[in-house]
Amino acid sequence: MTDAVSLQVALGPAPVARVDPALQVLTAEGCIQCNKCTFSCPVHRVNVLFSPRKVILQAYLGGADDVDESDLWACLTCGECQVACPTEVPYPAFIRAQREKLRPVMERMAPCKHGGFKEIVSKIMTRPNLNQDRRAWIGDGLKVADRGDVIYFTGCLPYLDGIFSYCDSARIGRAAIKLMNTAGIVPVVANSERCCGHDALWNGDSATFETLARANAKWIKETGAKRLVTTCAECYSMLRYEYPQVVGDWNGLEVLHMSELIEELVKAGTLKFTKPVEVKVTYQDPCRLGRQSKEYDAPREVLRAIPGVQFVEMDRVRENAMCCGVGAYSNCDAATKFMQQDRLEEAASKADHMVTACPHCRIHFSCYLDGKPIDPLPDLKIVDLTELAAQALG
Amino acid sequence: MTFEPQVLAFCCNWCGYSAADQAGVAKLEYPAGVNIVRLMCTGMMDPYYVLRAFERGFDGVMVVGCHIGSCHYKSGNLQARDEMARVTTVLRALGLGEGRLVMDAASASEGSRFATLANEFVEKMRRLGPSPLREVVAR
Repeated sequence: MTDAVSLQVALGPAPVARVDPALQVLTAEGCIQCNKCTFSCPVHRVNVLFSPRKVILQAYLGGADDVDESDLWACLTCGECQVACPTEVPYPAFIRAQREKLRPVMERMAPCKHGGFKEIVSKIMTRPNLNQDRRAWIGDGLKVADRGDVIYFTGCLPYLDGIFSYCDSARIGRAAIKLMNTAGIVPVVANSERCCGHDALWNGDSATFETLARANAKWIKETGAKRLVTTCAECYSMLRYEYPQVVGDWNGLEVLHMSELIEELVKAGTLKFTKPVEVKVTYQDPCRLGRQSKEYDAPREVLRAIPGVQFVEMDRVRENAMCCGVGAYSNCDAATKFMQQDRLEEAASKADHMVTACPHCRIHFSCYLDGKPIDPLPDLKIVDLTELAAQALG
Repeated sequence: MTFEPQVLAFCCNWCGYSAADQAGVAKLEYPAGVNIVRLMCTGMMDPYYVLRAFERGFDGVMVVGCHIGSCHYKSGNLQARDEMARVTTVLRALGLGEGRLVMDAASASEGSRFATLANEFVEKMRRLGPSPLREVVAR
């Protein structure tokens, strides 16, 4: 509080009456304008005009309406600034609140790449009469059920291949089911599942998010399952941390990321890796699993448990991990491509495979490797943790 | 009230749209529920257009372009064909499969072919019933 007061003194009397309520709610008033956020921001390194510090200052001086629209969409909401901030201003949450607030008056919506595909699919999923077929990608030999103790929340995996044809994202889902089947679990894959609403929430459309959250909570509670597993870091952060704020307590339902489940099964001895996978890997912390959910160890434990895998850390890891360059499909520009080249080169200098635990990190990095950039492409393969673990089953 | 399907037809300027024009000039009949949107080429068909049409409550989407090999821009219709095949997998997962999206061709002089395609498609939509997303009235 004293920091905010001294800031106001320094800036003269005008801001006192105009301080945005969002700033106070989000404790962004703790900002001491030290600029550490800007120096830690990966977008700032390319787009020097973008500065988290400047955005907070603008919000102070003129209220949220003075924040520049392009600044609002340039932020990846990766959270590196929040780690660097000495007063722990929740900058991503602040950006989210501003997007929400300015949505009605904004000239353009989130500059969603891929022609608004993800946005429109989640909008369609808010409809009550939907009759989805979410199991077509599973294929033969894998067992799923309608009822059971464990739910496998597939998220957008059944839809991603319709647009990211270079990625075969459904492979992650098949690997997850294979791992669970091997450990004697027949997961529930429900046709009544909806999008988790991550992108809607982070792009400032909380109405869509809440509709989706209620629809999902309804069927999840009806199955009476005790655990819910997801292979996606975004779904995980939504179901575990955001849903309880909308739909109330889960009543004993445990939300797990696939890496946590594999770690547990391996420790209990129900899942055994028999076939060595001779690869040298490094691990990319997804922002939604790492910085947001503080789950750094489970994926690393899984990598260490797979025979044959040689695990090397990159230099910028855990809370300092570099983002894949895109947040909630609302930004993809020069900064994104620079970050991807930078991160992939770092990974390629250490290993020959980059493992990640989020299908979206996998898509964004694969997209870069699929393209034809000016710089020589790093010699690297992008795999999901679940995929790699399933290879060790033989 | 009887169910009258509402269909969105994306037609390319050079073939599909001219064929629809021809059908009008020749006084051929096709249902009033066929709403035509003219594009310069079906190659500019974006998955978003299709999904947005269904989101707004249309019962079906038609894409009418040039015959293979006679695209005004050489390969636009081939591009559209691939794109529509991909979006079909998405529609199937959403429960909007069953041929609610079709891609076909009618050359500029084939007015009768356009009328037949439109009649057949609307008839098929009538048999399938309203789209599960139809709660807002289309248009």
